[in-house]
Amino acid sequence: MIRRWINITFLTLVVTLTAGSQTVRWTPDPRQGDSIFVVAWEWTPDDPQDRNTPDYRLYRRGYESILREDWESARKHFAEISAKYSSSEYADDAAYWSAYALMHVDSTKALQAYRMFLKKYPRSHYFDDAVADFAWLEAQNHLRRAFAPGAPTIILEPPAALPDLSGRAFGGTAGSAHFRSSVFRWNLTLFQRPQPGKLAPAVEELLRRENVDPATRTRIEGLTRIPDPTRNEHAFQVVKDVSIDLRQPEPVRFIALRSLADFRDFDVMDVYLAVVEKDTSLELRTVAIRSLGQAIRDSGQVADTLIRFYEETPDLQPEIRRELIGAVAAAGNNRAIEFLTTLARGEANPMIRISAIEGLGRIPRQPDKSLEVLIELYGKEPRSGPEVLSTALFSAADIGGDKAVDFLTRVARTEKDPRLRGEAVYYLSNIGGEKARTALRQILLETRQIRPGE
Amino acid sequence: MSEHSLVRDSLYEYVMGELPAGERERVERHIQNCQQCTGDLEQLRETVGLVRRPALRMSDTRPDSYWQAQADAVEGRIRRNEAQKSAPAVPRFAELLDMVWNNRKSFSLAAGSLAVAAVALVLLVRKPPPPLEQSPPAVAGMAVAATDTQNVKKMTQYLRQSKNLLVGLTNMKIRPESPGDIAAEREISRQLLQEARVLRETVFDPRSVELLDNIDGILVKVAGTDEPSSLPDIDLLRRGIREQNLLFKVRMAETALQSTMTAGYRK
Repeated sequence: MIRRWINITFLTLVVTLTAGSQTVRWTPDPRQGDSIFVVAWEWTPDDPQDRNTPDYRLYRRGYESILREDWESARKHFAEISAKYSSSEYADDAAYWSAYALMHVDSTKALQAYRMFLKKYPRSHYFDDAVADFAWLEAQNHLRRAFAPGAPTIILEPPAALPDLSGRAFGGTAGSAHFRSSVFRWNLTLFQRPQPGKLAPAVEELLRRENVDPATRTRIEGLTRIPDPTRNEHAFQVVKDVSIDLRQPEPVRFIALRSLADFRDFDVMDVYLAVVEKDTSLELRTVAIRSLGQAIRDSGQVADTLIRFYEETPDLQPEIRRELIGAVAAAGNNRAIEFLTTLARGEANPMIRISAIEGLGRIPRQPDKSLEVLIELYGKEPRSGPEVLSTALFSAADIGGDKAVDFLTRVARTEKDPRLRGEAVYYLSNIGGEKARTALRQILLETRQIRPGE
Repeated sequence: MSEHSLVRDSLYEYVMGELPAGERERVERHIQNCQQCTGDLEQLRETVGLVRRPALRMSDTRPDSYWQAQADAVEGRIRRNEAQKSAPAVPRFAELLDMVWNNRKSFSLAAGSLAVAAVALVLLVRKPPPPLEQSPPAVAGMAVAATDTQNVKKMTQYLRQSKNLLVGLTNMKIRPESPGDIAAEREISRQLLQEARVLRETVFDPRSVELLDNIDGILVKVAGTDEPSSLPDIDLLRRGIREQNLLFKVRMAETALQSTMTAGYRK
């Protein structure tokens, strides 16, 4: 009690002494040991006119430049704040956005700027954003080097074999291993298309190659000119027949498939499923699955139908199975959670299992239930399966919210594998918000990866 | 909370047709006598109009006889073509593009589903790595078309600008007694809504569509927020961003697309 009064008395002095001058504001955190004096400092009456102060006006001009993506102009304004109003309450805002603007101009200098920011403003609201940007920059720099002309072909190396680029910045505990591994996977997928033309949507292929034979072209034209599809039963029959007629050229089947979405008064579900089951084109089967999700308004019906289809059709390609899993997740109902949970726990094919885990992160309803499954999976999964663990972290982060932040915080603190710890930290920074920011700050301070005032 | 405040908070749902009948009538009763809410409503309608896809179908704008004639003409051409098996003049690429893109909304995915779709598909639906024993493909064979690259760039820029806005709003220092200045945020929101409208025509994968929808929801609210804005206004926006985990999703999507651009270095 005595200490509190001393603090309040001291506060009165401070307020008196600082009246009329610029003061640095920060949010007290009792868990960090901030005293009542700091809390009381927050009660300092604000000048209602402070929005017209020169530092605020300068900051706004800088931020408006950010919104326009005029990086040089933004940096000039923020540099002026730093030079003239270093104790402004907008100093940390300006420092963050200055580093952000620099990121688009000179990534090496931006890394330095972020490093400075994290040391100087560990209590800034931008702390999480700065960590996210920093990790992203580190990874980008690495990728640029990897993809530079003459660089060795490292893209086929497994992500785990790559140098730990986050190590230099955060001692190996923060960073973006998952991000990097994803990037590599994504790029590989792009590079390894066996038949590039087949991967683009069929219509695009059609549009690219102008040598489509006239009959095909005319059929496509016909399909695009169907009058009033909502009530035109004859047209529906034609489009339906064309969609599932494998003798039709692929672009024509594609156009017909897409046309089906316009026949809102007709039952198109069976047509889509027939395409998924029978069509010879992986592209068209994918389109059918996605179209089905968009065309049928009853998401529960979509999920139930797709699950049944998945379970009753044993010979589906893994790619189609994964696409179906994605569509079930997007439709998302209770049964979808059960279905994905079963696959996530026991599916033998690791690719499909991972898709199911990703799907759990995407189900729009009952995120708590999905999160519980992910946390349980993460706890039980052997450490020899980093891909599953990594995906579970990503999916939890994708769900977001306080419980996901708690889970990621726990992983960031207690996980033995530094890569997984780093991923958890990276996701915390990307989720952001007060809870994630506080956890992030504490973790990085505890592990001495940021040292304020250094 | 006053009747005025309650109605004002419901205007967005009113415009979107999401209010139950009772509340809808309440809003309608109030706006008959409230000039401010009437003005807000008009502005909101204008903003929402930017987001919504054109509702008109071709068949709404042309008489049935037009379409019948059109269908007859097409059928005639099909018959002639098949009979002759000859090669009449091929319509120009632009005509075909126009036909697919402009005449039927359902085909809008077509040329544009490009890399944005492909990339979002392969990026957001993270595919596992292929077996290591596969030989590396010829890099030059990646062959991302120019249009693909442009659309990836557009989408990336849209996501980055949205992120700039969301990060700024999330961290904005604002106090109850000192309204915030968000004129620039309102302006960029309107621009982004316009851009999203174009992007919708090029994006096909469900996750990208969902992301655009979620961002739109926030942009509409920012564009319709009073200027200067109060703390509750900003808090409402922040809550929306947080509840949808929107910054995470935007960042991950941006990362995904950026990685494609980085892959371009290889070319």
